[in-house]
Amino acid sequence: MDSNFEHRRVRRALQFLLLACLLSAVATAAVTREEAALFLEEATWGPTPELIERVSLEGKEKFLDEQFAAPATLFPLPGDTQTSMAPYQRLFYQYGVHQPDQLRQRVAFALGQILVVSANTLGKPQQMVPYLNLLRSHAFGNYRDLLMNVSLSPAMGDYLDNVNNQKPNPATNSSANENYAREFLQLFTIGTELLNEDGSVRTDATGQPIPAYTETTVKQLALAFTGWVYAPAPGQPIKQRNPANYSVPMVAYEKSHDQTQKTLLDGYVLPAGRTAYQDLEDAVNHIFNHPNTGPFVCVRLIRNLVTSNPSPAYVQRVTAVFNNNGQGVRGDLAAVVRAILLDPEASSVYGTSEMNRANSGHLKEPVLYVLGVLRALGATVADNNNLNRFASAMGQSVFYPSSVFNYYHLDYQIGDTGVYGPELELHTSSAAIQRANFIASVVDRGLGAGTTVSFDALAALAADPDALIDTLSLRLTHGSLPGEAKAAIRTFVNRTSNPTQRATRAFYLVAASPYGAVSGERSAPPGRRGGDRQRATRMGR
Amino acid sequence: MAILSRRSFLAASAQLTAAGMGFGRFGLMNASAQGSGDYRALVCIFLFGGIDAYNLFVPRGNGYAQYASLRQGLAIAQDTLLPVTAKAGAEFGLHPNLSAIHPLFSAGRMGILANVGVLFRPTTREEYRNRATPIPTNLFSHSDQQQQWQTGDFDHFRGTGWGGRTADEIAYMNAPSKFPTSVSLSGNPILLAGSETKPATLQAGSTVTLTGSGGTAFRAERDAALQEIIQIDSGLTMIQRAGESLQDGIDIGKLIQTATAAAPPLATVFPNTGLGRQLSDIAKLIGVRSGLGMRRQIFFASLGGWDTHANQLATHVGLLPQLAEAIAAFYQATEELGVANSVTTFTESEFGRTMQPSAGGGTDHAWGSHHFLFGGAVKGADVYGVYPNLALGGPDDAGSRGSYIPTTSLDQYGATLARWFGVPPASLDSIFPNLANFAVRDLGFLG
Repeated sequence: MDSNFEHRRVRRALQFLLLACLLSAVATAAVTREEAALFLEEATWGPTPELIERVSLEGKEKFLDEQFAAPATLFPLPGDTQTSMAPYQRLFYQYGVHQPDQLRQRVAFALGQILVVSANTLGKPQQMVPYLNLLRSHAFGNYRDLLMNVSLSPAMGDYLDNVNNQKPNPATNSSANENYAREFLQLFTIGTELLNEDGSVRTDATGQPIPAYTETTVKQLALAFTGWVYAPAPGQPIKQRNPANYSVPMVAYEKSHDQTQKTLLDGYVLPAGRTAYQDLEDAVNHIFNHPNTGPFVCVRLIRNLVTSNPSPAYVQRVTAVFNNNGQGVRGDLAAVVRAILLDPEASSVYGTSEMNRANSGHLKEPVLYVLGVLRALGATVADNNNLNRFASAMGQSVFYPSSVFNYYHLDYQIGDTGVYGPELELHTSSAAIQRANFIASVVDRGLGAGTTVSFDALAALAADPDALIDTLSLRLTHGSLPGEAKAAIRTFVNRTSNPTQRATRAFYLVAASPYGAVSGERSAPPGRRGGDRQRATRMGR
Repeated sequence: MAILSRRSFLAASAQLTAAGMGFGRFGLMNASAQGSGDYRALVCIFLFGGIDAYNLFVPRGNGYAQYASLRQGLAIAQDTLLPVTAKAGAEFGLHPNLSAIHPLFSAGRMGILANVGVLFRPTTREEYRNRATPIPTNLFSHSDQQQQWQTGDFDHFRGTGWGGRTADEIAYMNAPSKFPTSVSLSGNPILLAGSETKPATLQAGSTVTLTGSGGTAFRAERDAALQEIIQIDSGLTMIQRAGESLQDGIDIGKLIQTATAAAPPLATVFPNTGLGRQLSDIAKLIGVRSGLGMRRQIFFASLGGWDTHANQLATHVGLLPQLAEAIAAFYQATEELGVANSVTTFTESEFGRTMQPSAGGGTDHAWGSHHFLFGGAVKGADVYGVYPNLALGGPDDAGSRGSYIPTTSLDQYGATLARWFGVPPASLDSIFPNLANFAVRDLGFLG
């Protein structure tokens, strides 16, 4: 009896202690280092030792608050004589490794993969840099404002041929240019098929997808978008053809604007006789307010930051925030990004029951891979670095997507599996080898001028190979490296007693392994490894 | 990597023994005559962006006036066209910047297929406009049409391409080689994805070998440890796929290294352009086909930049010589290697472009387009298919701007290539699901 009583008292005390611990954890929002590292894979260019400690102590919310408040790192505007994008690529990597506004840089880069322009066509920094800064400035703004700014951007005007677009001219058998109108619908806002709020495709009674727009919509929207020209030099009159000017928004040349009545989606009418700006703004508002825009944009942001295969419920939760940030505002990107990153599906190291854990995470795109490795090592990167050549060899030269469909298709599926894996489109066998060879170059300190890497701090851990491997696993794989992999690494590490060689051996195998190449994948809880393997996607081979 | 498809092998063998035909002259005798010189390759050059072939292949003579009046400022002057004449007499001309391939036409090594595109079945303007017949989904969309041209599936996605399905059928002919039947020098194209085969995905001009300091023995140990990690079954799709690409790279790189170690360099000089480098690497792989143990190969290369909504004339002046010079060099390399009659090169592109120009001196997305065939097996110096009626809003126009409904289907185009390649006729319908809707199953452009 007495002992039972004692038991209950002890249990009570333990329960109280546990509750106290939980409460204090909530108060400081502390998370495990693994969860902090996972979060930093999603919210930054990669975890650093310092940020893992900070987020694990202070929590994610505080980090996000700081990130939303951090001033934007913008690119310096180019002088008239600069002709190459290379200095800006170097700055991109330098900023990515060192500048504190990590989340803004990530989100701007993700938005730039939806609202794509490419230095393939716009090869001069005078063309590209104002657009890059536009994306960074608006990364936490409103998607509607971003669409308006993009539509008036001379870089976009040049890239998708809406600058100098004119109403039809029977004398030259010329029609309004459809390029911007089509990609605005297909890639920037609603996509080709009607969607549910959870991102799934709506189907008709026969099970077929329902087109979101028709060829007529494209042609009508093209008419609505006519009449925009480069801004003339101060004091000069606006003409149909003005000298190229990428530093300020395009301006209307009303004579070239089609003033007929246009019908857009769902019978929405732009009345005849209006100005270029009225038509543009109403068309943008109308399409921005289409129910597809939320799920379309949210799925793409989730894929870039968190996982290629979000559950429908996750998409729905984020779409709800896109549709209304809680204060009646639609399109609030800061609220959307917060919802994406704080969702249980982004946060839980072992996944949630509603997600398909087997298809979680995403291949790090080459830029993210390169930056992540350097940040994990505490590398120093200066503005004369040569880092883009490594990402380029892996299939992604920054600022040079191959077309308006981005570096890779954002809805690329893996073979016949039905599983999405956009970044895998770039991941040829050559590219995979190039990743490993990049890691070899890091080990050999062969990254060229401007990048300094030291293995001293890791070498200091080398007396304890397990600590060394766990440290690298935390920084490069949010601690997800399985035991078999650690065992293989330990064997290779233990074949030398030289601390630096131990460090570089472990680093090579973690970073060059498939675990280092992927972000945000969720391993099974300890002791349950492979427990739900039957849910893994069939590997077609 | 490509593996012998037991199912395909059994199916093909059964067919051969039962019917005593099917493979035509690629019967069992050839199948067992490894090294007899039996070799065939298909080389796809995908022209990303949607090429305006209506300005590459232009009517001369009676047809020119209508073309010029529709094209206005985009028209190519008639006296600059490089003359080509169909065997039946119709006169056409090639764009003047295609001069590098013009001699191939005259020499009978190049053919032209007019106005081909994605189609479920022969379709009239009225049927299209009334949706009285199935129409491929999302016509005029780059991504959808790139996929449809590569898969042959026009209203759903089954994750394989017609090239990959062709490779599935034919991979047994390459046994016991472990080298993949298909090879891409341009990304991970869905064209080459099969159910049982998948392509080697290489990058032009780049070797596929793990590097690093530390000596051969050290690297062997390191690479063994890396592969031990790759082989762990994580149960996670992304990890497995990343590992597969890396392991494929390691394996394929070793096979190429072994095969090319003693290969003499090609004398043919390729232009130092993106497409030139891709085709150069393809020629080198063909050169070591015996070392790799290959008798059937499908290659993929590409050239982008054809989405000419504006400034089309200048863009073509820049791009067409790149296209033509790379193809001419490649053909020359196949002659040097003694395989000119065994290698057929063909073009694809997601769609043609409107006959009516757009503001800014370009053209918009359309439907049917002309495509080009090269090689000694091509019954060249001729034009295949049906050149459409160019009238805007006319019987061949899907809309009002000269977006021509294809007069020949992708299925007919691909099936003609696949049959020459060695796919049994009875298997063509599973590779090209809409072939049965067309009366002509072989367009006759290959000997």
